[in-house]
Amino acid sequence: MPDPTPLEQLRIADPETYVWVKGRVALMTPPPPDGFLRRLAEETIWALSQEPGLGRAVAQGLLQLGARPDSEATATYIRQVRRAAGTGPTLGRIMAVHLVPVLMAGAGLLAPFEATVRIMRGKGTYTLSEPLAVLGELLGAHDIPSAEAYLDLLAATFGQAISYNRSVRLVYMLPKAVRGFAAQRRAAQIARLAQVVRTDPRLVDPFLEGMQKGATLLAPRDLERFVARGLAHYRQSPKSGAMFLGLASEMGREACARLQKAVPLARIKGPLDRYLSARLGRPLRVMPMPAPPGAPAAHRPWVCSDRYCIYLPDEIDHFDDPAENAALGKMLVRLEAGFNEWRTFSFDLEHAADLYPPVALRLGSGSPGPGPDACDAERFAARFDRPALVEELLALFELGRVVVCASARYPGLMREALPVLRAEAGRLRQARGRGHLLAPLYARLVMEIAPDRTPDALTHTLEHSFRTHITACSPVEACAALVCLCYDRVAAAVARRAAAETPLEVPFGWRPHWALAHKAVAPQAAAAERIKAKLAEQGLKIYRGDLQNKLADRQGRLSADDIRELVVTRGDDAARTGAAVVLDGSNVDMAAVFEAAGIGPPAGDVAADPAFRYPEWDAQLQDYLHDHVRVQPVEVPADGDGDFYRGTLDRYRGLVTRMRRAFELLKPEGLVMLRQWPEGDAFDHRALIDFAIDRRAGRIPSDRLFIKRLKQERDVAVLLLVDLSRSTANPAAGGRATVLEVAKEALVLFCEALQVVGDPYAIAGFSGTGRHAVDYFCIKDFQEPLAAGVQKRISGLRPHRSTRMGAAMRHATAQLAQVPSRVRLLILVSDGFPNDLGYKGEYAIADTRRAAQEARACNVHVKAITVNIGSDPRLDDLYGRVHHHVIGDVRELPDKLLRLYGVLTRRY
Amino acid sequence: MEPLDSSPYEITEAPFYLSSGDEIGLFEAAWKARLPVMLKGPTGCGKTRFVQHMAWHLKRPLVTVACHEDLFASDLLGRYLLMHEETVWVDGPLTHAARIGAICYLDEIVEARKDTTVVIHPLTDDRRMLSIDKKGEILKAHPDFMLVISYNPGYQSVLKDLKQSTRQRFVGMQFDYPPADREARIVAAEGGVEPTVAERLVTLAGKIRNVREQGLTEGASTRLLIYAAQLIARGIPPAQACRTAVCLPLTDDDRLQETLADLVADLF
Repeated sequence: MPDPTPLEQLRIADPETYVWVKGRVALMTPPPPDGFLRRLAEETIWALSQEPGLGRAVAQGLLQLGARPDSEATATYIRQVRRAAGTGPTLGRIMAVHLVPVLMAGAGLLAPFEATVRIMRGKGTYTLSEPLAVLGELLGAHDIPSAEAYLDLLAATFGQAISYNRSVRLVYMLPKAVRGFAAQRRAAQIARLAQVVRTDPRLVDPFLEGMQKGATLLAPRDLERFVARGLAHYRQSPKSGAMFLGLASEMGREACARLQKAVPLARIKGPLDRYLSARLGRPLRVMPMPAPPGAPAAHRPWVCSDRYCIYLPDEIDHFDDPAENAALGKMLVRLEAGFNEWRTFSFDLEHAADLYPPVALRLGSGSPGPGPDACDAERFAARFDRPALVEELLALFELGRVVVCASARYPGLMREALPVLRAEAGRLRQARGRGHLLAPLYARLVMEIAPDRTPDALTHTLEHSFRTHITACSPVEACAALVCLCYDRVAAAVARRAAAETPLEVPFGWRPHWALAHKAVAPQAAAAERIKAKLAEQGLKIYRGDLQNKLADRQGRLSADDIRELVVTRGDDAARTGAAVVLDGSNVDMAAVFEAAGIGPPAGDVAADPAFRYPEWDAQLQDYLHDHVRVQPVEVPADGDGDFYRGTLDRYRGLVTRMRRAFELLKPEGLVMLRQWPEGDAFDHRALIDFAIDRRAGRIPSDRLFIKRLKQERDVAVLLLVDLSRSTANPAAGGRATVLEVAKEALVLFCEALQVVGDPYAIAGFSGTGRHAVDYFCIKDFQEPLAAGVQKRISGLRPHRSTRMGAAMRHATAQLAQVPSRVRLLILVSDGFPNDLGYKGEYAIADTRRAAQEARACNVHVKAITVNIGSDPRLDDLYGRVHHHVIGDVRELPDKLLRLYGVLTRRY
Repeated sequence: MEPLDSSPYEITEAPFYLSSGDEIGLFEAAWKARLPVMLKGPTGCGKTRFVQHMAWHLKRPLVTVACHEDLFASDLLGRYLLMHEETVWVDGPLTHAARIGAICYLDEIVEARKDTTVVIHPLTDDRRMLSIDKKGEILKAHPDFMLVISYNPGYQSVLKDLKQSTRQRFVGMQFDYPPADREARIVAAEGGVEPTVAERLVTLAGKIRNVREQGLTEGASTRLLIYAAQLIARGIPPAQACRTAVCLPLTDDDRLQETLADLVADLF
């Protein structure tokens, strides 16, 4: 006999839905009352009887609402859905899905929601689904003001007399626009959009275009002013108003620029990335700060970093002046880079204990602290009674140490930064009232503020200890030792203060975030731990902090030399073994393992194979693996329509004209006449006259009396090889286009230029997966004219899979070697390092380098252009120092590729 | 025939040169073995200064020719000139150097026309002779004569490269910017600035050499650092001196200039 549960009815009606519902109910805590379940079963069965889709939607909606005790909401939900379903199941389903977040957000939104839906239904049910989905997203993010403004916007839009076509367009445009607005200004932006729509729905397009072009950065009040002015213009002349809002008129752009205060990170990121790789000698990127869930915006730091990235807010709007904001962003990055430069994040407790007896003493006592997942700073703090205080103290001393180092090395930086830090600290002090116990010490150590009165005894002692123990050469561990020395005194002072201490608020939140840095290296921490254990077996000691640093520097790959450099002590027995350890724990390439186990991709039918086979260089064996790689020529489908080609020529009209002229100059003129030559076929009569005059005047005449006719020829063939790996789908800096799209534009211009100069050229792309399937896409052959087919092929290029660079280079070299030109040039355009199954890291670099050497041996010059990544010293390894170029901003590729070709092949 | 005068080519005062490897010993050995030498290295790293120093050290006169694309064989070998109604043969720098037993330094040899480069071939193998066809003379080089060429592999044009037949007549010596501490000593000595300022300049150069974007492949040369130091020594503010002597000559790219300016601002 079946169990008489409240859902029994549903089981009989629709077993599939029953199983789904039962699973969901089981996850609910506390379990819902039987009454609710019976109601759930009843309503679901009713809904299923209307339409199966509606049944699932109603069940889900009720389950979501059921988690809340508010039975009023459930009742309203059922009533509304039933009423909507009365009109038709589609409307019922829309209601069943989109009403839930509205009811969950509270009763206040229901009335405007109903009103808006009524208005939208007037235009047709098709207007509901997409816009209401965005409403759910806004409510899901608890952004009630935006949701209210959005409902108002929808009502304003669809309440107007608009054509069906416009209405369809708006149904897709509005949600997309609202999704694109930045969360902190969204409500105000939606309200302005509603204002614009009320004036004239045709203004939506220009308004959104203006937002894209930069109006989105305006603060709410400034946007209001901007829109008000735009609408004033509109009332005088609709066209001028639209141009103003769309930032298409000079006036609009000027007004927007005047009002704009925030600086988007994208604008300052490029130079900062370049600055960082210059200063640190390894790539460190500036990235937008991920929003920590739940953290209020006010307490978010303005800058933080881990070993790979420095994070800044998406927009910097601290000051009222964009120039000041840009300078602030730059300054914060320059300060924050100090943590990476002076190894703050390699804080290693074991190392500290070895260096400083007070730390060792402290580690010997107290609780062992949090688990192995905690970072060393946290584990250190856990050894004290007041861990929070210790973390503050450690951070403060570390900031002091970084400032000491920075003042010694970069006095200019500190001269610029200190006034800004001091001003911000002053602002914070005014806002906060009572000062923090450590605030005077912060002022002394970090901001180097000379005391206006005698500092309190505690600050004085702490500062004295700091100055005695910390110099520009001290490691981060010295700060931990200092904390051990000072802790008792500070803890006593804290105990004397009655009120609980709040965390020390520092200007711009600039302080080391060890936990964040630790999280970023978590995968490597495990690898480091394994290597450390492995070495310990052999009697070798190594610090985890050093190891993690090295792993970060080497992008997760280590060589035996690196380890040798890091090893601090070794047992006598181990001295002979050296560091010849198996280190592959960190970089086991699963694909290689598979391949070794024989689970590779199918080798294919060799006999009927149209593919080419090439050797590959194995750096470990120091030998070639013969016939190791299979390169298959692939026809690029000419499915592009050539619009891209024409569009690009159109877009770069100015550059095309300039470039044509420049390349005309490269073109040889055929026969050149060299005048005043020392030897030649005929007399240069002008020179003869000079000769006679000089003789008569008693001067020594020149002996350059001849004319020589020289046949000038230019015998250059070039093959442009383009990386079509998946990563080329990444967006280029600045947003709209992908890396490949820009590369395609560069190809178009390249073709045009080469047509002018007349050098034979070919274009090919490459990608693939694994050594048996390297795809070589023939885009244009040397003999092929630049016809529609080539144009379409360029238009139709899209990102594929991986990058086995060596094989592609060998095949390209083989193609070039058949061309009879005297100078043969292979230009490789890529967006990073080679990477394929079983083709990674040093192995891939060694093979690619080898392929380039082979090409050079065949008299093919190999030059590489790397786009969209910062400069990386490993690129020198890959292509050779003088044979590659980095173009950090891919948008410059079209221009720079041509310039580079010009430079590479000019005669003088 | 007039006695050969080598005095204009003699170097009397020791040119400042700080060795950063075994290059002095190598060069000396090559000179003793009468082997021609090719100096490779980026611009402004001290190749020319090294040759001057070695000429002084070996007490040989130094004849320097800056090569350019209009340099003809006759510009190196010599030509007949008309003087007071008679034709007089005047030796070119290479011939003169071969006669007086000087060190002949052909700077930036890749800039010379390829047909010009060929005339040095018989001088650079064991024949050690120069055939002056206009004069019908086969000149046997002075036993102390030595040929040195310099060559910057960073040259970008694939059309400008030394032919293998030329390359393989020389022993090569690689030059690079000196290690930081030595470079600082050089900048301090040549530029006349405090060691701390020199160290900052060298740090700046190190950071600039990290920027490997187009246009900055060679980085800031020691020569530019010395220029900057010389400006600083004459009272120009360091940031301004770096901008004038280092940043602006390096690149025309505004964005790269911005990064360079940031690096300078950090240090001064």
